[in-house]
Amino acid sequence: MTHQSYIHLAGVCKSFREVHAVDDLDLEINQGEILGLLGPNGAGKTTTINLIAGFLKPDRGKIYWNGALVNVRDQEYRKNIGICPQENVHWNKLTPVEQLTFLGHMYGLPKTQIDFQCQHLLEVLNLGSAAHRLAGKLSGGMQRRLNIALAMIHDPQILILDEPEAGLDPQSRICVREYIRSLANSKTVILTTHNMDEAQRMADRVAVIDQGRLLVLDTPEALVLRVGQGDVLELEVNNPGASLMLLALDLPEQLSAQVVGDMIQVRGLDLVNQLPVLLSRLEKQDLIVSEIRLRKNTLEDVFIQLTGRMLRE
Amino acid sequence: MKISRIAGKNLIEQLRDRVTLGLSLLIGPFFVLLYWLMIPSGSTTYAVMIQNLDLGEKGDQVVALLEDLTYPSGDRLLDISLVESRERSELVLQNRDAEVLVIIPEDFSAALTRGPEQSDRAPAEITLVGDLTNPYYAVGAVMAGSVIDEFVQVQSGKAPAVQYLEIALGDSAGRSEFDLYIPGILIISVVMLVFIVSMTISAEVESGTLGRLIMTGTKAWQLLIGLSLPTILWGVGSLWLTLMVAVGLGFESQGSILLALLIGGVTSIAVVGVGLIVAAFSKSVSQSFIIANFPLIFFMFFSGAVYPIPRINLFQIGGIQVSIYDILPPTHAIVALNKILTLGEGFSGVIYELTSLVILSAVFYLLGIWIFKGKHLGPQE
Repeated sequence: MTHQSYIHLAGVCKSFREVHAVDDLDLEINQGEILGLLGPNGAGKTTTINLIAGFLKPDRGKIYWNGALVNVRDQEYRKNIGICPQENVHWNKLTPVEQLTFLGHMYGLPKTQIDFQCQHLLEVLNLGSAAHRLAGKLSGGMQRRLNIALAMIHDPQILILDEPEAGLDPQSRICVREYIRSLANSKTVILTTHNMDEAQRMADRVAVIDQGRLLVLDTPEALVLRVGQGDVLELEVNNPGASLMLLALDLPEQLSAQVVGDMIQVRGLDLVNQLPVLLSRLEKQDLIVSEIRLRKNTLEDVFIQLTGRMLRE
Repeated sequence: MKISRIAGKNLIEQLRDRVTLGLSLLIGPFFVLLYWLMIPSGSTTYAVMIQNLDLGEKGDQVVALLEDLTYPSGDRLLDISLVESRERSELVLQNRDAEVLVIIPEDFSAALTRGPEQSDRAPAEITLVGDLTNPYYAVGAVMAGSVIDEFVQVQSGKAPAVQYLEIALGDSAGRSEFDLYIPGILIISVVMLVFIVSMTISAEVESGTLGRLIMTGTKAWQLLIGLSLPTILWGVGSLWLTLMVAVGLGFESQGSILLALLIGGVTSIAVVGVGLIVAAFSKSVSQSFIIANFPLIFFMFFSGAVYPIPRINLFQIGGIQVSIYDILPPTHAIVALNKILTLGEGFSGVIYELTSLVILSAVFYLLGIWIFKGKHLGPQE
């Protein structure tokens, strides 16, 4: 993988009236990497990609592409970008073949390349059977895959995917994931998601964004290590705040606990073996636990550690 | 090349959206059919009630004359009904089931047969009753009054001091009322396209496909010309279809159909420009549908397409009065179509209207492109 700063957002700000959607964002994206922009709804992910795509003009700050300052009106820059927005964007009254061919012509591609790309994309995105059906009549999963195909028809260097797996059926999700992973090293892929699993499985690096600011940027493995190796025990209790205070009095040193939403999260190594001890201590404190969940650390835990909130909140 | 690709794509999409396209294309023919059904004879027959109180026989004679009054085509001009009660007749007038009530007095025959020695006696009074706000009242009253006047002159043996000589322009004398409505309906059929153009372009905005097209590096003017070209085609098509239906129902054009189609084509360029302005201020198809009603109503009512409007003159150029409504392209289109279809004028006869139409259409179109580009085709601030 070639790691040179390919796209660089330097101190970029974008506000909509009183809302600071992107606030002094510094982000460096390497060529050929799959970068996941992870954050809750309203974190500024879509605004960030719209800024990169040139749909929005930054209020402050600069965007560089290959070291050169990007003018958002620069058509050469835009032609290097393929975008698959959150909402499906296609022509309902045209078939996939018709719209891929039309868009290829609009990019000024030769017919042979259009035909090749069209056939290739329909095949890898499993749209062959729907090639000649009106897009408006396709299933949601097929429409999503068609949107990825439309973003890739001109074989761009940068592919931007806004919530690519949103609303997909399992079959389509696998197909989309395989396709995105197949682009690794050859294309620079920026994908936004609030799904930690999606980011963890697909991204080479993950940028955690909240309230328009970059909180952290690293590989998923490195980010998970930040919250420490080990497990997370989630306890659903009646009054998490008060319960935490009682639990903290009697908590072993190597464990940490915090309130997240309506539950207590306990973190530490080898929680499976420590579970009986923990439960007996809870019982001693007269705490009523309605539900217990035990799992491995995830990117969501990184987000919780950084913001004190869950991605879904 | 890109323009033709976009136009081709739009053409396919519109052909597949049969309901919207069908409604847009058939509105003109539908109006023609509706007018023809309303006035199957081609011209309006005015309902006139007569209360004949005359004690002699002259009253009956004048009623017979009124009943025989016809258009040059032979169709009856007045629908005469004899009534007994003035009160009940006034109710009929209020309901606009008739235009005018003519009351022939008891002494009508006596007045006409008086000798010169009785010339000092008061004249017989013919009374006309009607709702003066009813636009048909004036026509019905004047027609009935003329017939009675002529009858009185003949009966009294007095030669008229003045005679009117009527000279009809072109073939206007032979034109029915149905024929006169056709130019207006033709323009309405073109103006209706403001819906299809604004909705088509707003659909690209709403669905985000406009963003996809912007990403391809297509220039704003290529995009908008491409998106609007099919509408100009539909404009000419709609005009042709409307004209053909009118011809099928008895309309006879006095001039060149091709010249009329040219006028329609140029007008549709202006309508497309207005459609672009509507789309510029719309974020969705439904919003554009609502906004498009404003220019539609403005064009229909202030261009003279629905009924003649009083001119508010602004200034004069080379002997031609320029009115405030002349800034609306359909105003010139109506006049030009009237001249071509009714008066049989050729290209030279409509050169002023055509020139004005071309200039205004270009202005509206460029204005539409400029506003739309500013609103939707640049990076958002």
